[in-house]
Amino acid sequence: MAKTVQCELCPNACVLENGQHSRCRARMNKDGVLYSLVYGKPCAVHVDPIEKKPFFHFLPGTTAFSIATAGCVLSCKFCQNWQISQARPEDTDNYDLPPDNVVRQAIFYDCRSITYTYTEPTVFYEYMYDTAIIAKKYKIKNTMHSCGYIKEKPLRKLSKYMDAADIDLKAFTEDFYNRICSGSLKPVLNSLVVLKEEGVWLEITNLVIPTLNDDMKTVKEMCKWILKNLGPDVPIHFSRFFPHYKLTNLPPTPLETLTETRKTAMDAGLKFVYIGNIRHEGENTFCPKCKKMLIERIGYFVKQNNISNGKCRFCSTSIPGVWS
Amino acid sequence: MGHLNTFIPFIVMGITSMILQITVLRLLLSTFSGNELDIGITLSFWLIYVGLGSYVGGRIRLRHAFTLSFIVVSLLAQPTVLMIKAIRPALSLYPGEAVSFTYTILSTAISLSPLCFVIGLQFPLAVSYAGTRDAAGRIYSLEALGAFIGGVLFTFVISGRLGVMELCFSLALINIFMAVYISRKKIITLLIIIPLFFYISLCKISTSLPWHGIEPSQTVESRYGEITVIQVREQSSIYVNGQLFFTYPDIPSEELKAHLSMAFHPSPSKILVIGGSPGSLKEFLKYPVDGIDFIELNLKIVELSSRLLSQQEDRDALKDRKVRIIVEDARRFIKRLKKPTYDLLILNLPQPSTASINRFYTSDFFREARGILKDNGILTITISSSTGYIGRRMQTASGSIYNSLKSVFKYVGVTAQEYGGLFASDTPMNTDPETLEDRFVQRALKTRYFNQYIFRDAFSPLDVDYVRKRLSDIKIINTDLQPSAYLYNLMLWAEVHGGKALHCLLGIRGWHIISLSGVIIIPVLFLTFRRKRRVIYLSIFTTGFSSMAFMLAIILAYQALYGYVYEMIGMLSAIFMIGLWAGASLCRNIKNALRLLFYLELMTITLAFTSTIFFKSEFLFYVFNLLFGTIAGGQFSTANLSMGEPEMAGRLYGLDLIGSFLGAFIPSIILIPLFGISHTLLFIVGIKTISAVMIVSLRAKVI
Amino acid sequence: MMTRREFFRFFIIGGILSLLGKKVNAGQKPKEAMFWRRID
Repeated sequence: MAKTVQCELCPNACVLENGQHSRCRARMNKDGVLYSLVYGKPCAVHVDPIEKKPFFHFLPGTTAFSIATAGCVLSCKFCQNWQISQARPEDTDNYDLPPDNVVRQAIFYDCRSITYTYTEPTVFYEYMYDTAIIAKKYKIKNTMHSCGYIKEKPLRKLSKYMDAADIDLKAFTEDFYNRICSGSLKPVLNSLVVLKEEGVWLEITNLVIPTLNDDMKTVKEMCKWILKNLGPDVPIHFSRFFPHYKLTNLPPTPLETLTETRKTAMDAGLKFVYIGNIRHEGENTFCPKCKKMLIERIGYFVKQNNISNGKCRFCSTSIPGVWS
Repeated sequence: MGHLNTFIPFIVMGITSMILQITVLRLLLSTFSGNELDIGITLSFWLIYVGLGSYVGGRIRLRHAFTLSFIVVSLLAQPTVLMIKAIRPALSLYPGEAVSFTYTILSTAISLSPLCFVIGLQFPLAVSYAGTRDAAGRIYSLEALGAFIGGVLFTFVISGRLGVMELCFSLALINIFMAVYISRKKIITLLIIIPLFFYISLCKISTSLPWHGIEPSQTVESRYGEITVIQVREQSSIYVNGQLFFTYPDIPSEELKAHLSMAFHPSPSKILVIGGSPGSLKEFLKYPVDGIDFIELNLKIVELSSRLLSQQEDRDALKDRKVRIIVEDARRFIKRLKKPTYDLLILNLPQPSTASINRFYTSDFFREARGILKDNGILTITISSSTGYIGRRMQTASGSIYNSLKSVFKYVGVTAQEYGGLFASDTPMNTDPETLEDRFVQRALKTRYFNQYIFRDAFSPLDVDYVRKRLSDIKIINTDLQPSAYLYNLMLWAEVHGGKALHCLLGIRGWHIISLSGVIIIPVLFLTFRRKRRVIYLSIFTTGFSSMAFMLAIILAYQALYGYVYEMIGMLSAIFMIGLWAGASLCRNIKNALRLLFYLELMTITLAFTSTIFFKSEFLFYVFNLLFGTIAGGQFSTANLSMGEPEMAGRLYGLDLIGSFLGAFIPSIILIPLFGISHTLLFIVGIKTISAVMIVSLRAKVI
Repeated sequence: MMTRREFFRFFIIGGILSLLGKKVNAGQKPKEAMFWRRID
């Protein structure tokens, strides 16, 4: 009897012989059955401000109970979480935290949401899915930070319980995904569209890496695609690259590059364009209509919030997002 | 004329080979991001190729072979340099991406082969050119003298003045003239066109080649390594040996570094900043301080970075009378200072991934630093940052630094992992985020990016707790002679850059080495016991092994203690060569060669045992190197004599070479990184004891 | 006072229980994954 299986969770679609591990390192074929090796075994458990994920239009000023297990579907050379993402679950020091305990802990730490983050949550899909169901029961929101490298079927199933997703759109060329991440761009774009269709609150993060994806022409193309396929309301975060993992000797992103990408995105017609991690007017939310400041942020902290009932306090324009 | 003819070519041979060796070594060092272990790998391949070359050279019966060898050397110098510079693009590495361990070895092996082989050929060709039977010894001495001259020239004249391409071009010219000189055929001069063509066409490519797509705006040779400036828009990044040192302007990072550290101290007035960007100086000046001392050992970096300062405030800061720029080795400066002077000492260096940087992360250094801090003075240093999770290797690397700090200071604090901060003091520090925040707000400083909320994030109790717990698990201490942080950073590097080979090597434990040595030694003892010829073979093999292992231990100890091997490698090699020569000539006419061989073995053992005394001062390092070279040279000569059969010399040379190769290779990839310098010296003692005992067994029979 | 006999009884029962407890924990079945298929 053949014991080969094929994983149908992410576009890698690993074909696994008996005893083989998946490329993401979190799944294994044991006697013709595919098992998740990370279920209930997170290695990173933290309480973070939701702004750190980053979510700017989702319960601002609240904390998120954040978990991650080892493994990732991609292998980006600039990964800042490589110690989790490129590790095997047996090589990390893990907590024993079954789904119900995650929810219990989230309640204990007064978190309004649980975020599946740090590495690629797709690799702990079963764990995330079960936790999300329980969390929903207890009125705790579910959010994820993902690279969007997942197949449509599992993503749609997950969307029923996922309140918000921040998707890393790492670049807008197949070449970049190919060479730097060992993946491809197309499935990511598809995931963005699917999430939008399923009504999951969507934000996008783009890490601007000098010389690798800082070409303004491509940035413009990317923003036009977002505008056309996801609409002008999707918040986009441009974040600053710091030397990490294999690219430890590449210089950090110059600030001018970030301000220029922000301008390019705004000129393309996107309404909520942010610059992450840098104290700049680009970390505040402005009303697209009256241009007044709605949310003032300093770092991960919200200094003032002028949105009430999802509307601008000054001109009553409704601001897209999840505000309560 | 005829008289000159008998020595000039041989000296030139020595000079060329020494200068090329140093050049190639330094180039490879910067290709592999300054990792000193590559010195050993380079030396071992250099030896093996030169050995092969000289073996083949002994069998060449071509009339103008000697002339030809000079021409080939002159034509190979530039392509070799180019080949090394092309390693990174050939492996399609991005700027800043490190070369994996397997490729480090492989590319060293390939890029060195042609040039070293030809250099090896030259010695036997020179002997047959000289024609007389006893020429070998004389040529050996002349070549050693040339090597010495080459090393000295490089250290005091060439280093920091002449670029690699200019240097290779000059060497090519000299070698072509040498060929003309020997053969008296002026037509050879025409060959100058080739190096000239190389020089003109490749000069431009060769600087940008290793950077693969990014054009470096400046490249400067300095005493401590090749400095490259990469410009992206308005921002310049300064690299030393391919390793990113800092980026300017980078106001968010400059502010973070300064204000986070300053908040720990209630009233910092005297500050010492070691290394990093001069851009942070203006931030310190925002406080009511008495003085800021900025210390950087590389004058070229100071000059370069002060020229790059594009912001007016940074230029003003540099001229401020409170700011003092000191160009000196910070360790030497601190050692000399002795009395408590500073409130805050900020270590602003990259992670200790090389031995030369590791010297600022050892308990020895922390102790010295503690001595110059005032009563409530604080030392702050940066460790690798991470998000979410600290992996086991990073935990060990950072934990060994944390633990070394703890072994010296009473109180050691940490920040959340994203900030990678460690701070140490002998008086308790307040790290409550609210206190720090209040302190910062009260000081009413104007900052662009830094803000009071950062303290809440950097000192969030849950996150700080996580880091402290994770780091406290590690009990290793990083010291000068047992540089564990360096080693664990190397492991971290291995984890990042893959390479199964290195992973396996890092798994080697002390008992593996001991049991494997046992398995090898027992049959060797049986085979050599009371057999004269075999004992001499063993002795010469161990001489080769221990002299290279010793050389490497010296180089790395020198780097760990003084940090500028990049400059002084020429001097160290030159002195070793002159020692070899002196030893060989001193032991040329000896009656009881076997007895002397035994004494020389004993001397090696004593020297290995007492080596730590020599590590006390820089001058003694050279003395030590000279002594050791002399003993090694003496041993080679004595072994030859005690053999009593001149035709065996070739075989002895071969064994010496195999020993040298292993002596460079094994210590550099296993012994020194895994077990430290002192244990490597002990290993030498062990090996030499065995060959000494074997000689004794012989004497009991012979005498 | 606890007699030696009682002590041993506690000791042995405790030992067995803790071993059992470990066993139960170690025997925790890995979670079967979602979204995969057999290839024949």
